[in-house]
Amino acid sequence: MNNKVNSFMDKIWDGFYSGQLRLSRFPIIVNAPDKSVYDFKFTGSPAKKMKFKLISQDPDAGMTIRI
Amino acid sequence: MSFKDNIAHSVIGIRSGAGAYINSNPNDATQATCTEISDFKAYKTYYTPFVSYSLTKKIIMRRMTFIDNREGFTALIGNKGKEYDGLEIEGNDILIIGESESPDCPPNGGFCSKYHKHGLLSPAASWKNKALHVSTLSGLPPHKVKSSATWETIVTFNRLEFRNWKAKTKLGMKNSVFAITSSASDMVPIMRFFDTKFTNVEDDAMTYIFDPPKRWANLKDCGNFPCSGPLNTLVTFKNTTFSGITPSYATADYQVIANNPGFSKHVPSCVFHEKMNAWTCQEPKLGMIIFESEDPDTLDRAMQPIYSRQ
Repeated sequence: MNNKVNSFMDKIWDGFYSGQLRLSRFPIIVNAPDKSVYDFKFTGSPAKKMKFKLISQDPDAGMTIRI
Repeated sequence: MSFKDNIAHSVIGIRSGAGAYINSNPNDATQATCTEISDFKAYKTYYTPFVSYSLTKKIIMRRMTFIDNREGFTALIGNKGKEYDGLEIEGNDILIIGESESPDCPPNGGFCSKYHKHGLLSPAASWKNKALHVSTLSGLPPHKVKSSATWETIVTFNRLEFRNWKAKTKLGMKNSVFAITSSASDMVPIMRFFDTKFTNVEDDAMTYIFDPPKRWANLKDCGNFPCSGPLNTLVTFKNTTFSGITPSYATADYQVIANNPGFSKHVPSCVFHEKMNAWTCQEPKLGMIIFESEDPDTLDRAMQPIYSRQ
Protein backbone atom coordinates (compact mmCIF):
# COMPACT_ATOMS: atom_id res chain seq x y z
CA MET A 1 0.00 0.00 0.00
CA ASN A 2 1.42 3.35 -1.01
CA ASN A 3 -1.15 6.15 -1.13
CA LYS A 4 0.35 9.42 -2.38
CA VAL A 5 -1.43 12.44 -0.97
CA ASN A 6 -1.29 16.12 -1.84
CA SER A 7 -2.18 19.16 0.25
CA PHE A 8 -5.14 21.36 -0.62
CA MET A 9 -5.51 23.38 -3.79
CA ASP A 10 -4.38 26.99 -3.84
CA LYS A 11 -7.70 28.82 -3.68
CA ILE A 12 -6.37 32.28 -2.94
CA TRP A 13 -6.18 34.94 -5.64
CA ASP A 14 -4.51 38.29 -5.36
CA GLY A 15 -5.78 40.11 -8.38
CA PHE A 16 -4.31 38.38 -11.40
CA TYR A 17 -1.98 36.12 -9.41
CA SER A 18 -2.65 33.00 -7.37
CA GLY A 19 -1.78 33.23 -3.69
CA GLN A 20 0.81 30.44 -3.62
CA LEU A 21 -0.78 29.47 -0.31
CA ARG A 22 -2.07 25.94 0.20
CA LEU A 23 -3.53 24.57 3.39
CA SER A 24 -1.50 21.68 4.84
CA ARG A 25 -4.46 19.46 5.62
CA PHE A 26 -4.57 15.82 4.51
CA PRO A 27 -7.61 13.54 4.36
CA ILE A 28 -6.46 9.97 3.70
CA ILE A 29 -8.56 6.85 3.24
CA VAL A 30 -7.48 3.98 5.50
CA ASN A 31 -8.53 0.50 6.43
CA ALA A 32 -8.22 0.38 10.19
CA PRO A 33 -8.84 -3.06 11.67
CA ASP A 34 -7.24 -3.98 14.99
CA LYS A 35 -3.48 -3.55 15.17
CA SER A 36 -3.18 -1.89 11.78
CA VAL A 37 -0.04 0.19 11.43
CA TYR A 38 0.54 2.93 8.87
CA ASP A 39 3.76 4.73 8.06
CA PHE A 40 3.33 8.33 6.94
CA LYS A 41 6.35 9.52 5.00
CA PHE A 42 6.67 13.27 4.61
CA THR A 43 8.79 14.57 1.75
CA GLY A 44 9.03 17.99 3.38
CA SER A 45 9.78 18.87 6.98
CA PRO A 46 6.84 17.72 9.13
CA ALA A 47 5.10 20.37 11.17
CA LYS A 48 6.09 20.63 14.82
CA LYS A 49 2.48 20.53 15.94
CA MET A 50 -0.14 18.42 14.18
CA LYS A 51 -3.73 17.43 14.82
CA PHE A 52 -5.12 13.98 13.81
CA LYS A 53 -8.63 12.56 13.69
CA LEU A 54 -9.77 9.11 12.58
CA ILE A 55 -13.32 8.88 11.26
CA SER A 56 -14.97 5.49 10.77
CA GLN A 57 -18.44 4.07 11.16
CA ASP A 58 -16.98 1.28 13.24
CA PRO A 59 -16.17 2.53 16.76
CA ASP A 60 -13.61 -0.28 17.10
CA ALA A 61 -11.55 1.00 14.17
CA GLY A 62 -8.10 2.10 15.23
CA MET A 63 -4.59 2.43 13.92
CA THR A 64 -1.03 3.19 14.86
CA ILE A 65 0.72 5.89 12.85
CA ARG A 66 4.46 6.08 12.53
CA ILE A 67 5.96 9.25 11.11
CA MET B 1 -41.77 32.59 6.11
CA SER B 2 -41.84 29.05 4.78
CA PHE B 3 -40.89 27.82 1.33
CA LYS B 4 -42.76 24.57 0.76
CA ASP B 5 -44.39 22.41 -1.87
CA ASN B 6 -42.73 24.13 -4.80
CA ILE B 7 -41.60 22.50 -8.06
CA ALA B 8 -38.80 23.51 -10.42
CA HIS B 9 -38.56 22.06 -13.88
CA SER B 10 -37.19 22.48 -17.38
CA VAL B 11 -34.33 24.75 -16.32
CA ILE B 12 -31.45 25.44 -18.69
CA GLY B 13 -28.40 27.59 -18.04
CA ILE B 14 -24.72 27.01 -18.68
CA ARG B 15 -23.50 29.19 -15.79
CA SER B 16 -26.34 28.75 -13.36
CA GLY B 17 -29.22 26.43 -14.14
CA ALA B 18 -30.19 25.13 -10.70
CA GLY B 19 -33.85 24.56 -9.97
CA ALA B 20 -33.90 26.88 -6.97
CA TYR B 21 -31.52 28.85 -4.77
CA ILE B 22 -32.28 28.24 -1.12
CA ASN B 23 -29.95 29.67 1.52
CA SER B 24 -30.33 30.15 5.25
CA ASN B 25 -31.80 33.45 6.30
CA PRO B 26 -29.03 35.66 7.74
CA ASN B 27 -31.65 37.63 9.68
CA ASP B 28 -32.75 34.54 11.61
CA ALA B 29 -30.13 33.72 14.24
CA THR B 30 -31.41 30.17 14.70
CA GLN B 31 -30.54 29.35 11.09
CA ALA B 32 -26.88 30.01 11.82
CA THR B 33 -27.05 26.79 13.81
CA CYS B 34 -29.40 24.72 11.68
CA THR B 35 -31.25 25.23 8.41
CA GLU B 36 -33.85 22.88 6.98
CA ILE B 37 -34.99 22.66 3.37
CA SER B 38 -38.00 20.45 2.80
CA ASP B 39 -40.91 19.50 0.59
CA PHE B 40 -39.42 20.46 -2.76
CA LYS B 41 -39.52 18.73 -6.13
CA ALA B 42 -37.56 19.20 -9.35
CA TYR B 43 -37.20 17.61 -12.74
CA LYS B 44 -35.18 18.33 -15.86
CA THR B 45 -32.80 20.90 -14.38
CA TYR B 46 -29.43 21.60 -15.97
CA TYR B 47 -27.51 21.79 -12.70
CA THR B 48 -28.57 20.67 -9.24
CA PRO B 49 -32.32 20.53 -8.45
CA PHE B 50 -31.64 23.23 -5.89
CA VAL B 51 -28.49 24.79 -4.55
CA SER B 52 -27.77 25.83 -0.98
CA TYR B 53 -24.40 27.18 0.11
CA SER B 54 -25.08 28.78 3.47
CA LEU B 55 -23.30 30.06 6.55
CA THR B 56 -24.68 27.56 9.04
CA LYS B 57 -23.55 24.59 11.13
CA LYS B 58 -26.07 22.05 9.97
CA ILE B 59 -28.28 21.73 6.94
CA ILE B 60 -31.11 19.23 6.64
CA MET B 61 -32.85 18.26 3.40
CA ARG B 62 -36.12 16.44 3.91
CA ARG B 63 -39.06 15.00 1.95
CA MET B 64 -38.11 15.79 -1.63
CA THR B 65 -38.53 14.19 -5.05
CA PHE B 66 -36.12 14.62 -7.93
CA ILE B 67 -36.57 13.20 -11.43
CA ASP B 68 -34.19 13.14 -14.36
CA ASN B 69 -31.95 16.07 -13.51
CA ARG B 70 -28.54 16.49 -15.07
CA GLU B 71 -26.67 16.97 -11.78
CA GLY B 72 -27.73 15.35 -8.57
CA PHE B 73 -29.06 17.08 -5.49
CA THR B 74 -26.55 18.33 -2.97
CA ALA B 75 -26.06 20.92 -0.27
CA LEU B 76 -23.02 22.87 0.82
CA ILE B 77 -21.96 24.79 3.88
CA GLY B 78 -19.42 27.59 4.11
CA ASN B 79 -18.31 28.16 7.70
CA LYS B 80 -14.64 28.50 8.52
CA GLY B 81 -15.43 29.84 12.01
CA LYS B 82 -17.16 26.62 13.10
CA GLU B 83 -15.14 24.09 11.12
CA TYR B 84 -13.89 22.25 14.21
CA ASP B 85 -17.40 21.93 15.66
CA GLY B 86 -18.42 19.22 13.20
CA LEU B 87 -20.44 20.70 10.34
CA GLU B 88 -23.32 18.45 9.31
CA ILE B 89 -25.19 17.88 6.06
CA GLU B 90 -28.16 15.54 6.27
CA GLY B 91 -30.73 14.25 3.77
CA ASN B 92 -33.85 12.35 4.84
CA ASP B 93 -36.72 10.67 2.99
CA ILE B 94 -35.81 11.73 -0.54
CA LEU B 95 -36.87 9.94 -3.73
CA ILE B 96 -34.47 10.19 -6.68
CA ILE B 97 -35.66 8.82 -10.00
CA GLY B 98 -33.56 8.27 -13.11
CA GLU B 99 -34.37 9.23 -16.67
CA SER B 100 -37.95 10.03 -17.54
CA GLU B 101 -39.87 9.58 -20.77
CA SER B 102 -39.24 13.22 -21.61
CA PRO B 103 -36.41 13.17 -24.18
CA ASP B 104 -33.25 15.31 -24.09
CA CYS B 105 -33.21 15.32 -27.89
CA PRO B 106 -36.83 15.58 -29.01
CA PRO B 107 -37.41 15.19 -32.74
CA ASN B 108 -37.91 18.66 -34.20
CA GLY B 109 -37.66 20.06 -30.69
CA GLY B 110 -35.11 22.69 -31.61
CA PHE B 111 -32.61 21.53 -28.99
CA CYS B 112 -30.55 18.48 -28.19
CA SER B 113 -28.78 18.10 -24.84
CA LYS B 114 -26.36 15.22 -24.43
CA TYR B 115 -24.71 14.92 -21.04
CA HIS B 116 -23.86 12.63 -18.14
CA LYS B 117 -26.47 12.47 -15.38
CA HIS B 118 -26.52 11.51 -11.72
CA GLY B 119 -28.95 11.57 -8.84
CA LEU B 120 -26.82 12.82 -5.97
CA LEU B 121 -23.75 14.99 -5.95
CA SER B 122 -21.28 14.76 -3.06
CA PRO B 123 -21.97 17.55 -0.55
CA ALA B 124 -19.14 19.71 0.71
CA ALA B 125 -18.25 22.23 3.35
CA SER B 126 -15.69 24.93 2.82
CA TRP B 127 -14.31 28.04 4.47
CA LYS B 128 -16.50 30.45 2.52
CA ASN B 129 -20.19 30.31 1.73
CA LYS B 130 -21.82 31.93 -1.29
CA ALA B 131 -24.35 34.67 -1.64
CA LEU B 132 -27.68 33.96 -3.28
CA HIS B 133 -26.58 36.11 -6.19
CA VAL B 134 -23.06 35.13 -7.21
CA SER B 135 -21.50 38.23 -8.69
CA THR B 136 -18.44 36.74 -10.43
CA LEU B 137 -18.27 34.39 -13.38
CA SER B 138 -15.60 32.27 -11.67
CA GLY B 139 -18.02 31.61 -8.81
CA LEU B 140 -20.47 29.87 -11.11
CA PRO B 141 -22.09 27.44 -11.12
CA PRO B 142 -23.15 28.20 -7.56
CA HIS B 143 -22.30 24.76 -6.19
CA LYS B 144 -18.68 25.05 -7.34
CA VAL B 145 -16.35 24.92 -4.33
CA LYS B 146 -14.02 27.93 -4.37
CA SER B 147 -12.34 27.80 -0.95
CA SER B 148 -10.52 25.25 1.21
CA ALA B 149 -12.44 22.30 2.59
CA THR B 150 -13.28 22.45 6.29
CA TRP B 151 -11.72 20.10 8.84
CA GLU B 152 -14.54 17.60 9.11
CA THR B 153 -17.98 17.40 7.55
CA ILE B 154 -20.48 14.77 8.63
CA VAL B 155 -22.68 13.74 5.70
CA THR B 156 -25.61 11.44 6.46
CA PHE B 157 -28.45 10.23 4.27
CA ASN B 158 -31.40 8.42 5.83
CA ARG B 159 -34.11 6.53 3.95
CA LEU B 160 -33.26 7.65 0.43
CA GLU B 161 -34.80 5.76 -2.48
CA PHE B 162 -33.16 5.54 -5.89
CA ARG B 163 -35.48 4.26 -8.58
CA ASN B 164 -34.85 3.28 -12.21
CA TRP B 165 -31.18 3.97 -12.72
CA LYS B 166 -29.57 2.51 -15.84
CA ALA B 167 -25.83 2.67 -16.40
CA LYS B 168 -26.26 4.71 -19.58
CA THR B 169 -28.64 7.47 -20.55
CA LYS B 170 -30.81 6.97 -23.61
CA LEU B 171 -28.19 8.98 -25.51
CA GLY B 172 -25.36 6.73 -24.31
CA MET B 173 -23.86 8.96 -21.62
CA LYS B 174 -22.94 7.98 -18.07
CA ASN B 175 -25.88 7.73 -15.70
CA SER B 176 -25.34 7.05 -12.02
CA VAL B 177 -26.90 7.16 -8.59
CA PHE B 178 -24.20 9.41 -7.16
CA ALA B 179 -21.15 11.34 -8.34
CA ILE B 180 -18.34 13.38 -6.85
CA THR B 181 -18.55 17.10 -7.36
CA SER B 182 -15.96 18.13 -9.93
CA SER B 183 -14.55 20.89 -7.70
CA ALA B 184 -13.86 18.57 -4.73
CA SER B 185 -10.12 18.80 -5.15
CA ASP B 186 -9.37 18.93 -1.42
CA MET B 187 -11.63 16.43 0.23
CA VAL B 188 -14.79 14.45 -0.37
CA PRO B 189 -16.48 14.04 3.03
CA ILE B 190 -17.42 10.48 3.94
CA MET B 191 -20.99 9.95 2.76
CA ARG B 192 -22.94 7.63 5.05
CA PHE B 193 -26.18 6.10 3.79
CA PHE B 194 -28.65 4.35 6.13
CA ASP B 195 -31.75 2.40 5.13
CA THR B 196 -31.35 3.20 1.44
CA LYS B 197 -33.73 1.53 -1.01
CA PHE B 198 -32.63 0.73 -4.55
CA THR B 199 -35.27 -0.20 -7.10
CA ASN B 200 -34.17 -1.21 -10.61
CA VAL B 201 -30.57 -0.08 -10.37
CA GLU B 202 -28.15 -1.62 -12.87
CA ASP B 203 -24.73 -3.02 -11.97
CA ASP B 204 -22.66 -0.08 -13.23
CA ALA B 205 -25.16 2.62 -12.31
CA MET B 206 -24.05 3.16 -8.69
CA THR B 207 -21.43 5.82 -9.44
CA TYR B 208 -18.59 7.08 -11.54
CA ILE B 209 -15.71 8.44 -9.45
CA PHE B 210 -13.41 10.55 -11.59
CA ASP B 211 -9.64 10.46 -11.31
CA PRO B 212 -8.14 13.84 -10.34
CA PRO B 213 -7.62 15.65 -13.65
CA LYS B 214 -4.04 16.24 -14.78
CA ARG B 215 -4.87 19.91 -15.37
CA TRP B 216 -4.85 20.38 -11.57
CA ALA B 217 -1.09 19.72 -11.64
CA ASN B 218 0.19 23.27 -12.10
CA LEU B 219 1.71 25.96 -9.95
CA LYS B 220 -1.49 27.90 -9.37
CA ASP B 221 -3.56 24.90 -8.28
CA CYS B 222 -2.02 21.74 -6.79
CA GLY B 223 1.69 21.92 -7.65
CA ASN B 224 3.55 19.03 -9.22
CA PHE B 225 0.73 16.51 -9.18
CA PRO B 226 -3.07 16.71 -8.96
CA CYS B 227 -4.78 17.19 -5.61
CA SER B 228 -5.86 13.88 -4.13
CA GLY B 229 -9.31 14.51 -2.63
CA PRO B 230 -11.30 12.38 -5.10
CA LEU B 231 -8.92 9.41 -4.71
CA ASN B 232 -9.71 9.24 -1.00
CA THR B 233 -13.48 9.03 -1.41
CA LEU B 234 -15.37 6.70 0.95
CA VAL B 235 -19.10 6.03 0.74
CA THR B 236 -20.76 3.65 3.19
CA PHE B 237 -24.14 1.92 3.01
CA LYS B 238 -25.89 0.24 5.95
CA ASN B 239 -29.16 -1.67 6.07
CA THR B 240 -29.71 -1.27 2.32
CA THR B 241 -32.51 -3.05 0.44
CA PHE B 242 -32.76 -3.84 -3.27
CA SER B 243 -35.64 -4.84 -5.52
CA GLY B 244 -36.16 -5.38 -9.25
CA ILE B 245 -32.92 -5.11 -11.22
CA THR B 246 -30.19 -5.57 -8.63
CA PRO B 247 -26.41 -4.94 -8.82
CA SER B 248 -24.07 -7.90 -8.40
CA TYR B 249 -22.60 -6.40 -5.23
CA ALA B 250 -26.00 -5.88 -3.60
CA THR B 251 -25.75 -6.49 0.14
CA ALA B 252 -27.25 -4.71 3.09
CA ASP B 253 -23.90 -3.28 4.20
CA TYR B 254 -21.14 -2.31 1.78
CA GLN B 255 -18.77 0.50 0.91
CA VAL B 256 -17.73 2.23 -2.31
CA ILE B 257 -14.24 3.68 -2.67
CA ALA B 258 -12.37 5.43 -5.46
CA ASN B 259 -9.91 3.74 -7.79
CA ASN B 260 -6.88 4.82 -5.77
CA PRO B 261 -3.85 3.06 -7.31
CA GLY B 262 -1.93 3.10 -4.03
CA PHE B 263 -4.77 1.84 -1.83
CA SER B 264 -7.87 0.20 -3.29
CA LYS B 265 -6.38 -3.01 -4.69
CA HIS B 266 -4.70 -3.70 -1.34
CA VAL B 267 -7.96 -3.84 0.63
CA PRO B 268 -8.80 -7.54 0.85
CA SER B 269 -12.50 -7.71 -0.02
CA CYS B 270 -12.72 -4.88 -2.54
CA VAL B 271 -13.82 -5.60 -6.12
CA PHE B 272 -13.04 -3.27 -9.02
CA HIS B 273 -15.78 -2.05 -11.36
CA GLU B 274 -14.12 -0.57 -14.42
CA LYS B 275 -17.16 1.25 -15.76
CA MET B 276 -17.66 2.98 -12.41
CA ASN B 277 -13.93 3.56 -11.90
CA ALA B 278 -14.62 2.50 -8.32
CA TRP B 279 -14.41 -0.44 -5.95
CA THR B 280 -17.11 -2.02 -3.82
CA CYS B 281 -15.99 -3.46 -0.49
CA GLN B 282 -17.04 -5.38 2.59
CA GLU B 283 -14.75 -3.66 5.06
CA PRO B 284 -16.62 -1.97 7.92
CA LYS B 285 -13.41 -0.55 9.36
CA LEU B 286 -12.67 1.58 6.32
CA GLY B 287 -12.33 5.16 7.40
CA MET B 288 -10.60 8.44 6.82
CA ILE B 289 -7.82 9.93 8.86
CA ILE B 290 -7.52 13.70 8.64
CA PHE B 291 -4.49 15.51 9.86
CA GLU B 292 -3.15 19.00 9.54
CA SER B 293 -0.33 21.24 10.53
CA GLU B 294 -1.07 23.55 13.45
CA ASP B 295 2.11 25.52 12.92
CA PRO B 296 1.71 29.19 11.94
CA ASP B 297 3.08 28.46 8.47
CA THR B 298 0.42 25.88 7.59
CA LEU B 299 -0.45 27.80 4.41
CA ASP B 300 3.01 28.27 3.00
CA ARG B 301 5.18 25.34 4.05
CA ALA B 302 5.05 22.24 1.88
CA MET B 303 5.10 18.78 3.47
CA GLN B 304 3.67 17.02 0.44
CA PRO B 305 3.66 14.62 -1.18
CA ILE B 306 2.93 12.49 1.85
CA TYR B 307 2.93 8.74 1.43
CA SER B 308 0.60 6.58 3.48
CA ARG B 309 2.18 3.12 3.54
CA GLN B 310 1.41 -0.17 5.15
